[in-house]
Amino acid sequence: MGDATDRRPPDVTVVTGPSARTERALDASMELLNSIQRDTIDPEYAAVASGGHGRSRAPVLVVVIGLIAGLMFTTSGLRGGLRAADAVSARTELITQIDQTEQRIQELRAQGNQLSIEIEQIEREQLGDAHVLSEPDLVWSGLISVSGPGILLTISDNPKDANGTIVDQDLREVANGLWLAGAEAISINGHRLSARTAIRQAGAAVTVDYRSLTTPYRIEAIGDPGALGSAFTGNSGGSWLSFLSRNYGVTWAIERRSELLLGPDAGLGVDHAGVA
Amino acid sequence: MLAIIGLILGVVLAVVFRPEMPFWLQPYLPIMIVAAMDALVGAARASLKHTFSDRVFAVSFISNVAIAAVIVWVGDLIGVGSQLSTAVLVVLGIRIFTNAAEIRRSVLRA
Repeated sequence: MGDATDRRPPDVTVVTGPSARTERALDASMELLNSIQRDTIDPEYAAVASGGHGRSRAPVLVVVIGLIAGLMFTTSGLRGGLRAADAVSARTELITQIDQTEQRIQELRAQGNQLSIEIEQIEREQLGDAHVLSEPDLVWSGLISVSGPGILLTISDNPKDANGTIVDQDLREVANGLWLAGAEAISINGHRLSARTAIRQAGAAVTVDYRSLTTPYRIEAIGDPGALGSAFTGNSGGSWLSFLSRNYGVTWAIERRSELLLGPDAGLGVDHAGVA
Repeated sequence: MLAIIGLILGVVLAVVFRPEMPFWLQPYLPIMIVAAMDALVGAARASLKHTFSDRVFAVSFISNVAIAAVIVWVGDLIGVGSQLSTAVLVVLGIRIFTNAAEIRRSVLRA
């Protein structure tokens, strides 16, 4: 800031050194705040003016500085005006991109399932009985698509109650209940469960095989439709669902199906290990 | 007067050419603008008091803007983020208001 004694109000005494301690002003401790209000224009203006030289030596400089200031203000102002419109269009653009990508994922996943069905057919033709795994092992492992009779279990959130939202643990209990009831293959919303399928929570969504699902959850299980349904209703899975529907308004229903087709678990596959 | 001509010229140029602001400058620009406003208002008051000087105006403008940018940069660097910018805004805001009030008094006598 520099010195500006000429514009200082007469009633303010400023401590300039240890010798001035005796005449310390009452508000001396607020010197910083006072100086902000006192020295509002750079004191050099007064100093140069009183020196009486260089009043208008560099007119170009002043124009340039003004030009820079104008550019800064306007550029920033124009950007501010555009920003809101930009944000809206960028948001729509992003939503479209997300939708398109999701659709593409769906297509590719369907294609992947189709291809693995073909692979497994070709394998069966080529290898015949020499297939490394026996058929029950292939079914249990989730490597191949399977078909057969079974049940379709539909579970829906209770939209009116935040506690009535299905979480990962609910689906795990249901899956375990179905295995216990004798299911030979299970899929949740089209994701086949295998030994490596994780049912987990990610934020508000339940993920199966690391893909988020939403309500309603369609759980398909292959097995004897009658026995499977009644066994499930009687075991831990069924009682878990009854508890949820009684206390939180979760809805669920079991339908018998004569023919279900479950794709293979897309999450299976090995990166490093080979057959010894 | 020349400064006002420059200012108008700058506004016109910016509207006509729509210069794209360098991306790295964007976080600094708001506080640099406040610093520039402070220098401009200070210069306006000085010119009303007939103490305006080109050299002081140029130096105070450039140093104000540069210091404002540096403070934001340092604030980000040491992790206080926008708080240091707030300090600068408070100080410059007080100065701008005081100067504007002073200009108002000397122009309108009120």
